[in-house]
Amino acid sequence: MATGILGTAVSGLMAFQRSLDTTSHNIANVGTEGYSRQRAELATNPAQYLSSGFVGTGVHVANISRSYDQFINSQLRASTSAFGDVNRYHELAAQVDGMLADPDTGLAPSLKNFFNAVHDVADDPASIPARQVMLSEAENLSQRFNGVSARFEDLQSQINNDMKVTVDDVNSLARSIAELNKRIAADSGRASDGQQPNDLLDQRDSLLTRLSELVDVSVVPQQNGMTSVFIGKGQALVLDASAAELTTMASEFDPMQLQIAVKTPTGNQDITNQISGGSLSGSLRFRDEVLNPARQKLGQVAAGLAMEFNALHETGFDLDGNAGSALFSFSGDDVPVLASSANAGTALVSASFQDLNAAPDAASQLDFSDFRLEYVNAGGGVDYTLTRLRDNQVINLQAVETPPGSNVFKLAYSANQPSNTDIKALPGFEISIDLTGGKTIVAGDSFQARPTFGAARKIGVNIGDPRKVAAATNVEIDPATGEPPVDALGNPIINIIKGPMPGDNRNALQLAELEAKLSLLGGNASFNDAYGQIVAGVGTMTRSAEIGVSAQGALLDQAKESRENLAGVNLDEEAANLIKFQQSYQAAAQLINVTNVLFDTLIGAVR
Amino acid sequence: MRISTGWSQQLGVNAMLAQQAKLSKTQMQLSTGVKNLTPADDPSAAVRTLDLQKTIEKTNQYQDNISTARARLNIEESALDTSENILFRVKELTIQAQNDTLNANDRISIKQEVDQLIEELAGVANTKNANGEYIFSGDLSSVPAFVSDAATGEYVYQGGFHQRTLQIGPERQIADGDLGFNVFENIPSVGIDNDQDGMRSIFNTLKSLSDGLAGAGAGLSEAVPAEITGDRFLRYGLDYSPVPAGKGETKFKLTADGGASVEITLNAAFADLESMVNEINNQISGAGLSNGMEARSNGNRIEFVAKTEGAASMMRIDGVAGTFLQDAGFTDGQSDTGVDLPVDANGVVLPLNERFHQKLDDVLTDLNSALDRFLQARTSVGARLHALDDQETSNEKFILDTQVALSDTQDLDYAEAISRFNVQQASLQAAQQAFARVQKLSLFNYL
Repeated sequence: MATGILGTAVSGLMAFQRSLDTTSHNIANVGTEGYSRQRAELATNPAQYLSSGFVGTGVHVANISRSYDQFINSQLRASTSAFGDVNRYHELAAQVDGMLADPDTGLAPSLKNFFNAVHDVADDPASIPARQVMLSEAENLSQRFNGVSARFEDLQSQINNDMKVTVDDVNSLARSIAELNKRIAADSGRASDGQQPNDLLDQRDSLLTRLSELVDVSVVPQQNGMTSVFIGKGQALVLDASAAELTTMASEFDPMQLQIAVKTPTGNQDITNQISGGSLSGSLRFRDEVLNPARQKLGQVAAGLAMEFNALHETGFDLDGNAGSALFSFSGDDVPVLASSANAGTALVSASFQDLNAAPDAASQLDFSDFRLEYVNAGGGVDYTLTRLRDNQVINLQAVETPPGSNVFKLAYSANQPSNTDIKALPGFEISIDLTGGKTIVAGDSFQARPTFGAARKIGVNIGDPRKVAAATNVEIDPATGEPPVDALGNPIINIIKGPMPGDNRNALQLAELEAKLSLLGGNASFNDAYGQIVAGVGTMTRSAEIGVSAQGALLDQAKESRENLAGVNLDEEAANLIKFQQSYQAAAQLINVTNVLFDTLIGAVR
Repeated sequence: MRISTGWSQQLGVNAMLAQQAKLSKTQMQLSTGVKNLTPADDPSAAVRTLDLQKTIEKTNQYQDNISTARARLNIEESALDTSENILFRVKELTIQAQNDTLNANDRISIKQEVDQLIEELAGVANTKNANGEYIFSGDLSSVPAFVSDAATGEYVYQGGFHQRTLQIGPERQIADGDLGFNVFENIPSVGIDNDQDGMRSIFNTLKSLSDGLAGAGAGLSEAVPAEITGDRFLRYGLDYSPVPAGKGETKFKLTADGGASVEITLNAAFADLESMVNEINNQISGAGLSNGMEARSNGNRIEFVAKTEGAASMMRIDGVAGTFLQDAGFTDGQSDTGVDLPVDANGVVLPLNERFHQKLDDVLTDLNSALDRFLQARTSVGARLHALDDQETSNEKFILDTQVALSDTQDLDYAEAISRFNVQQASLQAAQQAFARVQKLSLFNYL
């Protein structure tokens, strides 16, 4: 190394050139996402000992460091995933929210129109147009149920696509992080004095922040510069240089519901419960807290409406004097039942909504939940258990062979119930077990019944002929008293007239009164109330998500601000540095000039 | 403290975005006039809005129902008015006919006018409403209330026995008409040929007058036979085929003059009253009693009539098995005897002229009963029209109150919203200008 003024000057030139390089790197990256500003750290060269003392020999660049704070970065990631979670949740919930109360898409206007049309039939039971309008409005109402439900299904498939894309993103980010880990470890090993590959580290931090938008991330730094990444509640995603791979899989009882799984050598392992934070969790929470309950509750209204209306309609008589038939029907099975793939038996299990003419309270017992049926064969009236999946309440069911000797069993609410259950009757549907033809059932076999989940999607109108609207009761009346005739003991004789009674509107009046009947939710809500509760429920959740978005947004802004203030590039600062380093560089260059002058002076003195 | 260049720009952008979002929401509120754009803005108000809208719609429906009921009651009112006028004319004619100076021919010409009036009254009783429903036929509104029986020439009621009601308020139903049975048919009568229960239809009273003017009919040329009538609605027949399809076989015994009786067995399904009457008459003639008794249909009901006249005439029904008596509305052992021509204190039949006057006197009494009945019906219609008005006013008031509540819940306060709009507009402009100014500042400008 050259010593003396020339050497010192050259060391200065080199150092300030490096500083200028760093400054220009900073300026160039002022817009780069995740970039941390860098500084050339200068240090004096070791002094040379001469007899007069230690003489300085100039400067060198000790390190190029980046402004970085591990705490601020992890706070940024935490805020990012909290915001991603609540933001995604809010985006999705707002779609449902807007749809439910909109007069053009919500259920309430159709419900009103339908009942008004029933009133018109009560006013004019003999009028074919009035009956036609009622059927059209019934059709309208069921299409509205179908439509809202179809929108729910759209959201469901939107979530599914979203989950697939998100899982792909997570996988690709994980692979990139693992790759970066490898390079960072190699580069760090190359450096002697703990210098770090700043830009690679920035890239990795940036990828981690992007990952945290999708899912909660915790980062554990390793000695060799690598980091291990865990997502959600502790599922390992990146361990050193290897990345795990996530995938989606259909849940057992519903192919439309995707679950998150991690690929392992032995197969896919469901980690849906492990997911927290990020837009992935936002989608999952929306599905579990808003979408599925809203679908179930809408189905509950649809099923309740069909049960109440059909029961009354079936007791009435149409314009031709024939007994009424069901007005609403469900395509496919009323209540779909799926057998678990692990079942050993072959029993055929089916379920249907209860007939209100036999069980008047059944509609009020409907619940917005799926149910799991399990054969326990414990005796004492405990043949089956039925578990309400939304809160895991259990009731016992007793199998009754109906009719005896048929090998077909109807399940009845058992007299022997767990003391802590609050389900006091069959939940609006009845189950029958078909063991004919040598079919078997084995203790432990389980089935899932979904009474309300698809009801709104499947409801339709069963009657096309307006004459078949059962507006009449055909109960004979004593014209003098206006009441049914009485027998010798004064008891009314309910005599059904077997012919057409075109002017009889008694059944239509009762049908119209169903609008106000508190037939749902344990007998506490009319159809309109129950729908209102869905609207209020979704509205409340959307509102709290909205508040969450602004709160988490503020926190995220704070975290971003902290990071930007520490690591972001300020152009004015860089401009000032530019001037400073330029001047230093010029001064060092001047030193070389001085050396030259000194040399010339010396040469001139001896010439 | 240091602020990075990127962040300082981001801050400015964030501020503008926030102001724009607020401005856009206020704009939406102003253009829709609605305070809460989605339920999330105020969940409880959203539900209250749904409830209030439903209540208004429902009450509007009650108002529609009231209009329907009012239109129908007005039709009935004018029909009753016409009926009253017809009876007034009949009363005049009856009094005129009492005059002994009139000869048989004069009475025949009065009879001809009475016959016309009967037709006219039947036309009124068969008035239809705008939907083509017979207004006096109750719930059997597709058939005329009164038709002339081909066999007897009498007008019989064949409408339904139930009057329908309309819902005009949350807890209030009102009948939209009256049964022809109660208005025209079931009127107290003093005529000797009245029904077993002392009732007679106004048409039969008029027919009695018409016959009397021709010098014929009960009390003049003939005595009255025994007759028993069931009071249940049998228009669509009964099913006595074996249980469970039908009610199972039924048997009853009919007894006529001199104790001659026949046991009738019904064990098939009868689609209508006529086929049942035919079957009973077949069994009567099978027993050789067709000279003594006969079954008849009377629109909706079944009656058994003795073929002989006078006090010796007798008709009786007894249940044997099954449910016929209850189904047809007879009591077990129900019986009736006929009535002889009127006699004086010595048991001698009154002269024809006195019998004629007595018959017309009875008709006059019956006409007054019928007029009373019409008046009752009109009063009741008037009371119902009044109730409709009351309910309409109360519904209107309720709709108004509900609309006020709805407006409070969902409508926008324009004054407040417009001033808010102005403030937000100013804030956005300020944010934009501040952004432009700050972004101009850079040390590089001075290098």
